[in-house]
Amino acid sequence: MDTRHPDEGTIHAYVESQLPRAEYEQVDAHVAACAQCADAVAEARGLIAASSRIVSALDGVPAGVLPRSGRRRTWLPAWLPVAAVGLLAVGISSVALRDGVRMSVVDGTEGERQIEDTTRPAAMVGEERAPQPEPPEAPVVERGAPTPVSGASATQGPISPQRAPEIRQRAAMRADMRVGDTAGDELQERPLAFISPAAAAPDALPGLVVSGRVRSQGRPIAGAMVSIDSLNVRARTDSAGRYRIELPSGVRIADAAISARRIGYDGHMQRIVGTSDSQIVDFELPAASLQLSGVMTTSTLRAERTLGAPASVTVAGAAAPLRAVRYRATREAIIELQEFHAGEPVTSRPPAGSSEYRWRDDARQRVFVLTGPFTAAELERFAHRLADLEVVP
Amino acid sequence: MRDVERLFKAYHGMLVRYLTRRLGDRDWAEELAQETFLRALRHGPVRNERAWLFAVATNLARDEGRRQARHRRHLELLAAEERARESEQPSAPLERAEDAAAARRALDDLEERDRLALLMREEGLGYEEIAEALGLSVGSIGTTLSRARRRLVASYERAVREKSGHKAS
Repeated sequence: MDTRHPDEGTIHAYVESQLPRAEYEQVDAHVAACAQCADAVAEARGLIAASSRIVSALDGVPAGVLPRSGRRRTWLPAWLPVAAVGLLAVGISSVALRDGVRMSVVDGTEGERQIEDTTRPAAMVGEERAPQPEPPEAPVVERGAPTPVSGASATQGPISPQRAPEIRQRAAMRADMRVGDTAGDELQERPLAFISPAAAAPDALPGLVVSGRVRSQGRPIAGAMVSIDSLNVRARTDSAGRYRIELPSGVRIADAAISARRIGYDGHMQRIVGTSDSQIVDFELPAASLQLSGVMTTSTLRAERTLGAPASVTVAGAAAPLRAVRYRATREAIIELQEFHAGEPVTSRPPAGSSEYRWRDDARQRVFVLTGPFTAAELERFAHRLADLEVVP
Repeated sequence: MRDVERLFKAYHGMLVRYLTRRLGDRDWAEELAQETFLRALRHGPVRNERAWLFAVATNLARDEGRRQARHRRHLELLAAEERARESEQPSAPLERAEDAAAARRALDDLEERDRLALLMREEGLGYEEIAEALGLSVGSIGTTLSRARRRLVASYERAVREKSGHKAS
Protein backbone atom coordinates (compact mmCIF):
# COMPACT_ATOMS: atom_id res chain seq x y z
CA MET A 1 0.00 0.00 0.00
CA ASP A 2 1.23 3.41 -0.90
CA THR A 3 1.73 5.23 2.34
CA ARG A 4 2.79 8.52 0.90
CA HIS A 5 0.45 11.41 1.40
CA PRO A 6 -2.04 11.86 -1.44
CA ASP A 7 -1.65 15.09 -3.35
CA GLU A 8 -4.29 17.79 -3.38
CA GLY A 9 -5.84 16.64 -6.65
CA THR A 10 -6.26 13.16 -5.27
CA ILE A 11 -7.77 14.55 -2.10
CA HIS A 12 -10.39 16.42 -4.09
CA ALA A 13 -11.11 13.34 -6.15
CA TYR A 14 -11.44 11.37 -2.94
CA VAL A 15 -13.81 13.86 -1.34
CA GLU A 16 -15.92 13.91 -4.46
CA SER A 17 -15.95 10.11 -4.77
CA GLN A 18 -14.30 10.23 -8.15
CA LEU A 19 -11.47 7.84 -7.48
CA PRO A 20 -11.45 4.28 -8.74
CA ARG A 21 -12.51 2.00 -5.97
CA ALA A 22 -9.16 0.54 -5.06
CA GLU A 23 -7.50 3.91 -4.90
CA TYR A 24 -10.41 5.33 -2.94
CA GLU A 25 -9.99 2.70 -0.30
CA GLN A 26 -6.28 3.28 -0.07
CA VAL A 27 -6.75 6.97 0.44
CA ASP A 28 -9.57 6.40 2.86
CA ALA A 29 -7.41 4.17 5.00
CA HIS A 30 -4.55 6.63 4.88
CA VAL A 31 -6.69 9.61 5.83
CA ALA A 32 -8.10 7.74 8.79
CA ALA A 33 -4.63 7.35 10.19
CA CYS A 34 -3.01 10.59 9.16
CA ALA A 35 -3.90 13.86 10.87
CA GLN A 36 -2.22 15.97 8.25
CA CYS A 37 -4.25 14.44 5.46
CA ALA A 38 -7.41 14.59 7.49
CA ASP A 39 -6.81 18.32 7.68
CA ALA A 40 -6.29 18.40 3.96
CA VAL A 41 -9.61 16.66 3.49
CA ALA A 42 -11.34 19.20 5.67
CA GLU A 43 -9.75 22.01 3.76
CA ALA A 44 -10.77 20.46 0.47
CA ARG A 45 -14.35 20.23 1.64
CA GLY A 46 -14.27 23.88 2.56
CA LEU A 47 -12.89 24.86 -0.81
CA ILE A 48 -15.36 22.71 -2.68
CA ALA A 49 -18.29 24.18 -0.84
CA ALA A 50 -17.04 27.72 -1.08
CA SER A 51 -16.38 27.41 -4.80
CA SER A 52 -19.86 26.12 -5.30
CA ARG A 53 -21.26 29.07 -3.46
CA ILE A 54 -19.19 31.52 -5.43
CA VAL A 55 -20.16 30.02 -8.77
CA SER A 56 -23.79 30.12 -7.75
CA ALA A 57 -23.41 33.76 -6.89
CA LEU A 58 -22.88 34.41 -10.57
CA ASP A 59 -26.48 33.63 -11.16
CA GLY A 60 -27.58 36.29 -8.73
CA VAL A 61 -29.78 33.74 -7.05
CA PRO A 62 -28.84 31.95 -3.87
CA ALA A 63 -28.01 28.31 -4.14
CA GLY A 64 -29.11 25.83 -1.59
CA VAL A 65 -31.19 28.23 0.40
CA LEU A 66 -34.86 27.35 0.18
CA PRO A 67 -34.42 24.96 -2.68
CA ARG A 68 -37.62 24.77 -4.62
CA SER A 69 -39.00 21.35 -5.22
CA GLY A 70 -37.73 19.80 -8.37
CA ARG A 71 -34.68 22.02 -8.52
CA ARG A 72 -33.17 20.88 -5.30
CA ARG A 73 -30.58 18.53 -6.63
CA THR A 74 -29.26 20.95 -9.11
CA TRP A 75 -28.54 23.67 -6.66
CA LEU A 76 -27.15 21.98 -3.63
CA PRO A 77 -23.50 21.16 -3.39
CA ALA A 78 -22.62 17.66 -4.43
CA TRP A 79 -21.37 16.58 -1.04
CA LEU A 80 -24.66 17.19 0.67
CA PRO A 81 -25.98 13.86 1.88
CA VAL A 82 -29.43 13.05 0.68
CA ALA A 83 -30.85 12.60 4.16
CA ALA A 84 -30.03 16.17 5.04
CA VAL A 85 -31.89 17.38 2.03
CA GLY A 86 -35.00 15.69 3.33
CA LEU A 87 -34.60 17.40 6.66
CA LEU A 88 -34.13 20.68 4.94
CA ALA A 89 -37.42 20.33 3.16
CA VAL A 90 -39.17 19.55 6.42
CA GLY A 91 -37.62 22.50 8.13
CA ILE A 92 -38.64 24.94 5.49
CA SER A 93 -42.26 23.96 5.31
CA SER A 94 -42.63 24.43 9.03
CA VAL A 95 -41.24 27.88 8.75
CA ALA A 96 -43.60 28.73 6.00
CA LEU A 97 -46.54 27.61 8.02
CA ARG A 98 -45.71 29.04 11.37
CA ASP A 99 -43.82 32.14 10.76
CA GLY A 100 -46.41 34.06 8.89
CA VAL A 101 -43.66 34.79 6.47
CA ARG A 102 -44.06 37.02 3.51
CA MET A 103 -44.15 34.73 0.58
CA SER A 104 -44.40 37.24 -2.19
CA VAL A 105 -41.44 37.87 -4.36
CA VAL A 106 -39.61 40.89 -3.20
CA ASP A 107 -36.93 42.37 -5.31
CA GLY A 108 -33.53 42.64 -3.76
CA THR A 109 -33.55 46.34 -3.21
CA GLU A 110 -36.81 46.54 -1.41
CA GLY A 111 -36.08 43.53 0.69
CA GLU A 112 -32.93 45.09 1.92
CA ARG A 113 -34.48 48.40 2.64
CA GLN A 114 -37.05 46.73 4.76
CA ILE A 115 -34.36 45.13 6.75
CA GLU A 116 -32.53 48.38 6.99
CA ASP A 117 -35.57 49.90 8.62
CA THR A 118 -35.29 47.66 11.59
CA THR A 119 -31.77 48.73 12.30
CA ARG A 120 -30.43 51.73 13.98
CA PRO A 121 -30.54 54.54 11.45
CA ALA A 122 -27.04 55.61 12.37
CA ALA A 123 -24.05 55.68 10.15
CA MET A 124 -23.30 52.07 10.84
CA VAL A 125 -25.26 50.63 7.98
CA GLY A 126 -24.13 48.52 5.12
CA GLU A 127 -21.27 46.18 4.70
CA GLU A 128 -18.46 48.64 4.51
CA ARG A 129 -18.10 49.70 8.05
CA ALA A 130 -15.97 47.67 10.37
CA PRO A 131 -17.68 45.84 13.19
CA GLN A 132 -17.22 47.66 16.45
CA PRO A 133 -18.49 45.76 19.39
CA GLU A 134 -16.97 48.21 21.85
CA PRO A 135 -14.86 51.28 21.69
CA PRO A 136 -11.44 49.95 20.90
CA GLU A 137 -9.70 51.64 23.77
CA ALA A 138 -11.52 49.82 26.49
CA PRO A 139 -12.42 46.24 25.79
CA VAL A 140 -14.86 45.16 28.37
CA VAL A 141 -13.90 42.75 31.04
CA GLU A 142 -16.50 40.10 31.48
CA ARG A 143 -16.74 38.09 34.62
CA GLY A 144 -18.35 34.75 35.03
CA ALA A 145 -20.33 35.63 38.12
CA PRO A 146 -24.08 35.61 37.78
CA THR A 147 -24.50 39.12 39.06
CA PRO A 148 -26.92 41.40 37.34
CA VAL A 149 -25.53 44.51 35.84
CA SER A 150 -25.58 47.37 38.27
CA GLY A 151 -22.98 50.10 38.44
CA ALA A 152 -21.82 52.25 35.65
CA SER A 153 -20.08 51.33 32.49
CA ALA A 154 -17.06 53.35 31.65
CA THR A 155 -18.29 53.81 28.17
CA GLN A 156 -22.00 54.15 28.32
CA GLY A 157 -23.15 55.71 31.51
CA PRO A 158 -25.60 54.04 33.87
CA ILE A 159 -27.04 50.89 32.49
CA SER A 160 -30.74 50.79 32.98
CA PRO A 161 -32.31 47.56 34.15
CA GLN A 162 -34.05 47.44 30.84
CA ARG A 163 -30.83 47.20 28.94
CA ALA A 164 -29.34 44.67 31.27
CA PRO A 165 -30.97 41.59 29.80
CA GLU A 166 -29.96 42.52 26.30
CA ILE A 167 -26.44 43.26 27.30
CA ARG A 168 -26.26 40.02 29.14
CA GLN A 169 -27.56 38.35 26.10
CA ARG A 170 -24.95 39.97 23.96
CA ALA A 171 -22.25 38.98 26.36
CA ALA A 172 -23.61 35.48 26.43
CA MET A 173 -23.39 35.38 22.67
CA ARG A 174 -19.82 36.39 22.69
CA ALA A 175 -18.80 34.07 25.40
CA ASP A 176 -20.35 31.20 23.61
CA MET A 177 -18.46 31.65 20.42
CA ARG A 178 -15.64 29.29 20.93
CA VAL A 179 -13.62 27.18 18.64
CA GLY A 180 -13.79 23.50 19.19
CA ASP A 181 -16.94 23.30 21.26
CA THR A 182 -19.02 20.35 20.35
CA ALA A 183 -22.41 20.97 18.96
CA GLY A 184 -24.93 22.81 21.03
CA ASP A 185 -26.19 21.00 23.98
CA GLU A 186 -23.06 20.50 25.93
CA LEU A 187 -22.30 24.16 25.95
CA GLN A 188 -23.20 25.83 29.18
CA GLU A 189 -24.52 29.30 29.17
CA ARG A 190 -23.12 31.46 31.84
CA PRO A 191 -24.94 34.62 32.56
CA LEU A 192 -22.42 37.36 32.32
CA ALA A 193 -22.32 40.91 33.37
CA PHE A 194 -20.25 43.79 32.28
CA ILE A 195 -18.18 45.50 34.82
CA SER A 196 -15.78 48.25 34.17
CA PRO A 197 -12.88 49.71 36.08
CA ALA A 198 -15.10 52.60 37.05
CA ALA A 199 -17.41 50.26 38.91
CA ALA A 200 -14.65 49.27 41.33
CA ALA A 201 -14.25 51.19 44.57
CA PRO A 202 -12.57 54.42 43.56
CA ASP A 203 -9.99 54.44 46.29
CA ALA A 204 -8.83 50.84 45.91
CA LEU A 205 -5.42 50.08 44.54
CA PRO A 206 -5.55 49.28 40.86
CA GLY A 207 -5.47 45.59 40.13
CA LEU A 208 -3.04 43.73 37.97
CA VAL A 209 -3.35 44.22 34.28
CA VAL A 210 -2.72 41.51 31.78
CA SER A 211 -2.62 42.83 28.27
CA GLY A 212 -1.11 42.11 24.94
CA ARG A 213 -1.88 41.41 21.35
CA VAL A 214 -3.24 38.51 19.44
CA ARG A 215 -1.88 38.00 15.97
CA SER A 216 -1.79 35.47 13.22
CA GLN A 217 1.10 35.58 10.80
CA GLY A 218 1.78 39.13 11.79
CA ARG A 219 -1.79 40.29 11.26
CA PRO A 220 -3.75 41.47 14.27
CA ILE A 221 -6.81 39.44 15.08
CA ALA A 222 -9.85 41.36 16.24
CA GLY A 223 -12.60 39.74 18.22
CA ALA A 224 -10.39 37.07 19.73
CA MET A 225 -11.33 36.02 23.21
CA VAL A 226 -8.53 36.01 25.73
CA SER A 227 -9.39 34.39 29.00
CA ILE A 228 -7.94 33.35 32.29
CA ASP A 229 -10.38 30.64 33.13
CA SER A 230 -9.26 30.00 36.65
CA LEU A 231 -9.98 33.61 37.55
CA ASN A 232 -13.12 33.76 35.47
CA VAL A 233 -12.02 36.81 33.55
CA ARG A 234 -11.81 37.40 29.88
CA ALA A 235 -11.57 40.15 27.34
CA ARG A 236 -11.94 40.51 23.63
CA THR A 237 -9.36 41.98 21.31
CA ASP A 238 -10.06 45.23 19.55
CA SER A 239 -9.50 46.04 15.91
CA ALA A 240 -5.76 46.23 16.49
CA GLY A 241 -5.71 42.86 18.14
CA ARG A 242 -5.09 44.35 21.56
CA TYR A 243 -6.71 43.13 24.71
CA ARG A 244 -6.63 44.21 28.29
CA ILE A 245 -7.72 42.29 31.31
CA GLU A 246 -7.84 44.16 34.57
CA LEU A 247 -7.99 42.01 37.62
CA PRO A 248 -9.71 43.27 40.71
CA SER A 249 -7.32 44.79 43.18
CA GLY A 250 -5.82 42.36 45.60
CA VAL A 251 -5.88 39.48 43.14
CA ARG A 252 -2.53 37.99 42.39
CA ILE A 253 -1.68 35.25 40.05
CA ALA A 254 -0.01 32.16 41.40
CA ASP A 255 -0.19 29.98 38.36
CA ALA A 256 -2.79 30.59 35.74
CA ALA A 257 -3.38 29.54 32.19
CA ILE A 258 -4.28 32.27 29.78
CA SER A 259 -5.66 31.37 26.41
CA ALA A 260 -6.62 33.13 23.22
CA ARG A 261 -9.28 31.82 20.89
CA ARG A 262 -10.95 32.93 17.74
CA ILE A 263 -13.09 31.24 15.15
CA GLY A 264 -11.01 30.31 12.19
CA TYR A 265 -7.83 29.92 14.18
CA ASP A 266 -6.38 27.31 16.44
CA GLY A 267 -6.39 28.41 20.07
CA HIS A 268 -3.24 29.07 21.98
CA MET A 269 -2.53 28.81 25.65
CA GLN A 270 0.22 30.20 27.80
CA ARG A 271 0.90 30.27 31.48
CA ILE A 272 1.41 33.13 33.88
CA VAL A 273 3.28 31.97 36.94
CA GLY A 274 3.83 33.55 40.32
CA THR A 275 3.57 37.21 39.65
CA SER A 276 2.46 40.34 41.35
CA ASP A 277 3.28 42.53 38.40
CA SER A 278 1.25 43.45 35.39
CA GLN A 279 1.98 41.22 32.48
CA ILE A 280 2.13 41.46 28.77
CA VAL A 281 1.18 38.26 27.04
CA ASP A 282 1.07 38.13 23.27
CA PHE A 283 -0.41 35.36 21.22
CA GLU A 284 0.30 34.01 17.80
CA LEU A 285 -2.55 31.94 16.43
CA PRO A 286 -2.11 29.61 13.51
CA ALA A 287 -4.92 29.58 11.02
CA ALA A 288 -7.27 26.75 11.78
CA SER A 289 -7.39 23.65 9.69
CA LEU A 290 -11.02 24.52 8.92
CA GLN A 291 -12.23 21.62 10.91
CA LEU A 292 -14.57 22.82 13.59
CA SER A 293 -16.87 20.38 15.22
CA GLY A 294 -19.30 23.09 16.05
CA VAL A 295 -19.63 26.68 17.03
CA MET A 296 -22.41 27.73 19.26
CA THR A 297 -23.84 31.14 19.51
CA THR A 298 -27.01 32.02 21.22
CA SER A 299 -29.35 34.74 20.26
CA THR A 300 -32.95 34.88 19.39
CA LEU A 301 -33.68 34.59 15.78
CA ARG A 302 -36.48 35.40 13.51
CA ALA A 303 -36.15 34.22 9.97
CA GLU A 304 -37.54 36.22 7.14
CA ARG A 305 -37.82 34.53 3.85
CA THR A 306 -38.89 35.76 0.53
CA LEU A 307 -38.99 33.69 -2.57
CA GLY A 308 -36.58 34.55 -5.24
CA ALA A 309 -34.46 36.79 -3.09
CA PRO A 310 -31.57 35.97 -0.83
CA ALA A 311 -32.82 34.69 2.47
CA SER A 312 -32.19 37.35 5.03
CA VAL A 313 -32.03 36.58 8.64
CA THR A 314 -32.80 39.05 11.32
CA VAL A 315 -32.06 38.58 14.92
CA ALA A 316 -34.80 39.48 17.27
CA GLY A 317 -34.44 39.90 20.99
CA ALA A 318 -37.04 39.13 23.51
CA ALA A 319 -37.53 42.74 24.34
CA ALA A 320 -36.76 44.47 21.13
CA PRO A 321 -35.42 43.51 17.74
CA LEU A 322 -31.69 43.47 17.56
CA ARG A 323 -29.86 44.93 14.67
CA ALA A 324 -30.53 43.11 11.45
CA VAL A 325 -27.84 40.75 10.47
CA ARG A 326 -27.57 40.36 6.77
CA TYR A 327 -25.37 37.56 5.75
CA ARG A 328 -23.30 38.85 3.02
CA ALA A 329 -24.45 36.86 0.05
CA THR A 330 -26.24 34.26 2.07
CA ARG A 331 -24.77 31.75 -0.28
CA GLU A 332 -21.45 32.50 1.36
CA ALA A 333 -22.38 31.48 4.78
CA ILE A 334 -25.56 29.57 4.48
CA ILE A 335 -25.78 26.36 2.68
CA GLU A 336 -28.60 25.00 4.68
CA LEU A 337 -30.88 26.71 7.04
CA GLN A 338 -32.67 24.16 9.06
CA GLU A 339 -35.16 24.74 11.73
CA PHE A 340 -36.07 22.53 14.58
CA HIS A 341 -38.62 22.92 17.28
CA ALA A 342 -38.13 22.37 20.95
CA GLY A 343 -38.13 18.72 21.76
CA GLU A 344 -37.32 17.71 18.22
CA PRO A 345 -34.17 15.76 17.80
CA VAL A 346 -31.63 17.89 16.08
CA THR A 347 -29.68 16.37 13.24
CA SER A 348 -26.73 14.29 14.04
CA ARG A 349 -23.35 15.89 14.14
CA PRO A 350 -22.17 17.53 11.00
CA PRO A 351 -19.86 15.41 8.90
CA ALA A 352 -16.23 15.67 9.82
CA GLY A 353 -14.75 18.73 8.25
CA SER A 354 -17.94 20.71 8.31
CA SER A 355 -19.04 23.21 10.85
CA GLU A 356 -22.27 24.43 12.27
CA TYR A 357 -23.68 27.57 13.61
CA ARG A 358 -26.73 27.34 15.72
CA TRP A 359 -29.11 29.92 16.96
CA ARG A 360 -31.62 29.18 19.55
CA ASP A 361 -34.79 31.18 19.48
CA ASP A 362 -35.87 30.99 23.06
CA ALA A 363 -38.96 33.04 22.48
CA ARG A 364 -40.25 30.53 20.02
CA GLN A 365 -38.37 27.48 21.10
CA ARG A 366 -36.62 27.04 17.84
CA VAL A 367 -33.12 26.17 16.90
CA PHE A 368 -31.65 27.24 13.61
CA VAL A 369 -28.69 25.42 12.27
CA LEU A 370 -26.35 26.52 9.57
CA THR A 371 -24.04 23.89 8.28
CA GLY A 372 -20.75 24.46 6.52
CA PRO A 373 -18.07 23.68 5.68
CA PHE A 374 -16.96 27.23 5.59
CA THR A 375 -13.60 28.64 4.77
CA ALA A 376 -11.75 30.54 7.46
CA ALA A 377 -12.43 33.83 5.73
CA GLU A 378 -16.14 33.18 5.59
CA LEU A 379 -16.18 32.33 9.24
CA GLU A 380 -14.34 35.47 10.05
CA ARG A 381 -16.90 37.55 8.25
CA PHE A 382 -19.59 35.57 9.87
CA ALA A 383 -18.14 36.08 13.30
CA HIS A 384 -18.04 39.80 12.73
CA ARG A 385 -21.70 39.77 11.93
CA LEU A 386 -22.62 37.93 15.04
CA ALA A 387 -20.39 40.01 17.24
CA ASP A 388 -22.08 43.05 15.88
CA LEU A 389 -25.49 42.63 17.32
CA GLU A 390 -26.83 45.47 19.34
CA VAL A 391 -30.10 46.51 20.76
CA VAL A 392 -32.28 48.80 18.77
CA PRO A 393 -34.16 50.95 21.21
CA MET B 1 -28.38 11.48 -32.05
CA ARG B 2 -31.79 10.11 -31.67
CA ASP B 3 -34.43 11.36 -29.34
CA VAL B 4 -33.06 14.84 -29.04
CA GLU B 5 -36.15 15.84 -27.20
CA ARG B 6 -35.16 13.62 -24.33
CA LEU B 7 -31.68 15.06 -24.40
CA PHE B 8 -33.12 18.52 -24.43
CA LYS B 9 -35.23 17.89 -21.36
CA ALA B 10 -32.35 16.32 -19.54
CA TYR B 11 -29.57 18.71 -20.39
CA HIS B 12 -30.80 21.97 -21.80
CA GLY B 13 -31.18 23.71 -18.46
CA MET B 14 -27.77 22.83 -17.19
CA LEU B 15 -26.16 23.65 -20.50
CA VAL B 16 -27.70 27.11 -20.50
CA ARG B 17 -26.60 27.72 -16.96
CA TYR B 18 -23.10 26.49 -17.71
CA LEU B 19 -22.84 28.73 -20.73
CA THR B 20 -24.34 31.71 -18.93
CA ARG B 21 -21.81 31.39 -16.17
CA ARG B 22 -19.02 31.04 -18.67
CA LEU B 23 -20.09 33.88 -20.95
CA GLY B 24 -21.92 36.15 -18.56
CA ASP B 25 -24.58 36.64 -21.18
CA ARG B 26 -27.76 34.66 -21.00
CA ASP B 27 -29.09 35.42 -24.45
CA TRP B 28 -25.92 34.32 -26.04
CA ALA B 29 -25.90 31.22 -23.83
CA GLU B 30 -29.38 30.29 -25.04
CA GLU B 31 -28.28 30.72 -28.64
CA LEU B 32 -25.30 28.48 -28.20
CA ALA B 33 -27.36 25.89 -26.38
CA GLN B 34 -29.78 25.79 -29.30
CA GLU B 35 -26.91 25.39 -31.71
CA THR B 36 -25.52 22.58 -29.60
CA PHE B 37 -28.74 20.63 -29.76
CA LEU B 38 -29.04 21.21 -33.48
CA ARG B 39 -25.65 19.63 -33.89
CA ALA B 40 -26.71 16.74 -31.68
CA LEU B 41 -29.59 16.18 -34.06
CA ARG B 42 -27.23 15.87 -36.98
CA HIS B 43 -24.69 13.75 -35.18
CA GLY B 44 -24.53 9.98 -34.84
CA PRO B 45 -24.81 8.20 -31.51
CA VAL B 46 -22.13 8.81 -28.89
CA ARG B 47 -21.06 6.92 -25.82
CA ASN B 48 -21.54 9.71 -23.33
CA GLU B 49 -24.10 12.25 -24.42
CA ARG B 50 -23.63 14.71 -21.62
CA ALA B 51 -19.89 14.90 -22.11
CA TRP B 52 -20.40 15.33 -25.84
CA LEU B 53 -22.92 18.11 -25.41
CA PHE B 54 -20.69 19.99 -23.02
CA ALA B 55 -17.71 19.55 -25.35
CA VAL B 56 -19.64 20.98 -28.27
CA ALA B 57 -21.07 23.83 -26.24
CA THR B 58 -17.62 24.65 -24.93
CA ASN B 59 -16.16 24.75 -28.40
CA LEU B 60 -18.93 26.96 -29.64
CA ALA B 61 -18.27 29.31 -26.77
CA ARG B 62 -14.66 29.53 -27.81
CA ASP B 63 -15.51 31.34 -31.01
CA GLU B 64 -13.16 34.23 -30.66
CA GLY B 65 -14.48 37.01 -32.80
CA ARG B 66 -18.00 37.10 -31.55
CA ARG B 67 -16.89 36.53 -28.04
CA GLN B 68 -14.70 39.58 -27.99
CA ALA B 69 -17.40 41.78 -29.38
CA ARG B 70 -19.89 40.45 -26.89
CA HIS B 71 -17.38 40.73 -24.12
CA ARG B 72 -16.80 44.38 -24.82
CA ARG B 73 -20.48 45.08 -24.86
CA HIS B 74 -20.91 43.09 -21.72
CA LEU B 75 -18.25 45.06 -19.95
CA GLU B 76 -19.89 48.27 -20.98
CA LEU B 77 -23.18 47.10 -19.64
CA LEU B 78 -21.58 46.12 -16.37
CA ALA B 79 -19.87 49.45 -16.07
CA ALA B 80 -23.09 51.29 -16.72
CA GLU B 81 -24.91 49.20 -14.17
CA GLU B 82 -22.22 49.85 -11.66
CA ARG B 83 -22.43 53.58 -12.13
CA ALA B 84 -26.19 53.55 -11.88
CA ARG B 85 -26.05 51.50 -8.75
CA GLU B 86 -23.46 53.64 -7.09
CA SER B 87 -25.39 56.82 -7.69
CA GLU B 88 -28.53 55.30 -6.24
CA GLN B 89 -27.30 53.99 -2.97
CA PRO B 90 -23.72 54.77 -2.20
CA SER B 91 -23.86 53.42 1.28
CA ALA B 92 -25.81 50.23 0.78
CA PRO B 93 -25.12 48.55 -2.55
CA LEU B 94 -27.12 45.51 -3.43
CA GLU B 95 -25.55 42.54 -1.79
CA ARG B 96 -26.51 40.22 -4.50
CA ALA B 97 -25.15 42.29 -7.35
CA GLU B 98 -21.97 42.95 -5.43
CA ASP B 99 -21.41 39.31 -4.86
CA ALA B 100 -22.18 38.46 -8.45
CA ALA B 101 -19.61 41.02 -9.54
CA ALA B 102 -17.03 39.64 -7.16
CA ALA B 103 -17.78 36.13 -8.31
CA ARG B 104 -17.43 37.24 -11.90
CA ARG B 105 -14.06 38.75 -11.26
CA ALA B 106 -12.92 35.69 -9.43
CA LEU B 107 -14.03 33.36 -12.20
CA ASP B 108 -12.41 35.50 -14.85
CA ASP B 109 -9.21 35.22 -12.89
CA LEU B 110 -8.90 31.52 -13.63
CA GLU B 111 -7.17 29.86 -16.51
CA GLU B 112 -9.66 28.92 -19.20
CA ARG B 113 -9.21 25.21 -18.75
CA ASP B 114 -9.55 25.41 -14.98
CA ARG B 115 -12.61 27.58 -15.31
CA LEU B 116 -14.34 25.24 -17.73
CA ALA B 117 -13.56 22.20 -15.60
CA LEU B 118 -14.97 23.88 -12.53
CA LEU B 119 -18.14 25.02 -14.25
CA MET B 120 -18.70 21.55 -15.62
CA ARG B 121 -18.17 20.04 -12.22
CA GLU B 122 -20.75 22.44 -10.84
CA GLU B 123 -23.22 20.98 -13.31
CA GLY B 124 -22.54 17.57 -11.86
CA LEU B 125 -20.32 16.13 -14.55
CA GLY B 126 -18.05 13.37 -13.30
CA TYR B 127 -14.29 13.57 -13.67
CA GLU B 128 -14.40 11.19 -16.62
CA GLU B 129 -16.97 13.29 -18.41
CA ILE B 130 -15.00 16.46 -17.80
CA ALA B 131 -11.88 14.76 -19.08
CA GLU B 132 -13.69 13.67 -22.21
CA ALA B 133 -15.33 17.05 -22.80
CA LEU B 134 -12.06 18.92 -22.44
CA GLY B 135 -9.75 16.38 -23.97
CA LEU B 136 -7.73 15.89 -20.79
CA SER B 137 -6.65 12.82 -18.85
CA VAL B 138 -8.92 11.74 -16.04
CA GLY B 139 -6.03 11.76 -13.62
CA SER B 140 -5.46 15.45 -14.14
CA ILE B 141 -8.99 16.56 -13.33
CA GLY B 142 -8.59 16.44 -9.58
CA THR B 143 -5.56 18.67 -9.73
CA THR B 144 -7.24 20.99 -12.18
CA LEU B 145 -10.26 21.37 -9.93
CA SER B 146 -8.30 21.80 -6.74
CA ARG B 147 -6.22 24.49 -8.35
CA ALA B 148 -9.29 26.19 -9.77
CA ARG B 149 -11.09 26.17 -6.46
CA ARG B 150 -8.20 27.44 -4.46
CA ARG B 151 -7.67 30.26 -6.84
CA LEU B 152 -11.35 31.07 -7.17
CA VAL B 153 -11.80 31.36 -3.45
CA ALA B 154 -8.71 33.51 -3.04
CA SER B 155 -9.70 35.80 -5.88
CA TYR B 156 -13.20 36.11 -4.58
CA GLU B 157 -12.02 37.03 -1.12
CA ARG B 158 -9.75 39.63 -2.61
CA ALA B 159 -12.52 41.06 -4.74
CA VAL B 160 -14.81 41.24 -1.74
CA ARG B 161 -12.16 42.96 0.36
CA GLU B 162 -11.35 45.45 -2.30
CA LYS B 163 -14.96 46.24 -2.80
CA SER B 164 -15.82 46.98 0.77
CA GLY B 165 -12.55 48.27 2.09
CA HIS B 166 -10.54 46.57 4.74
CA LYS B 167 -12.53 45.35 7.65
CA ALA B 168 -11.06 45.35 11.09
CA SER B 169 -9.13 42.18 11.23
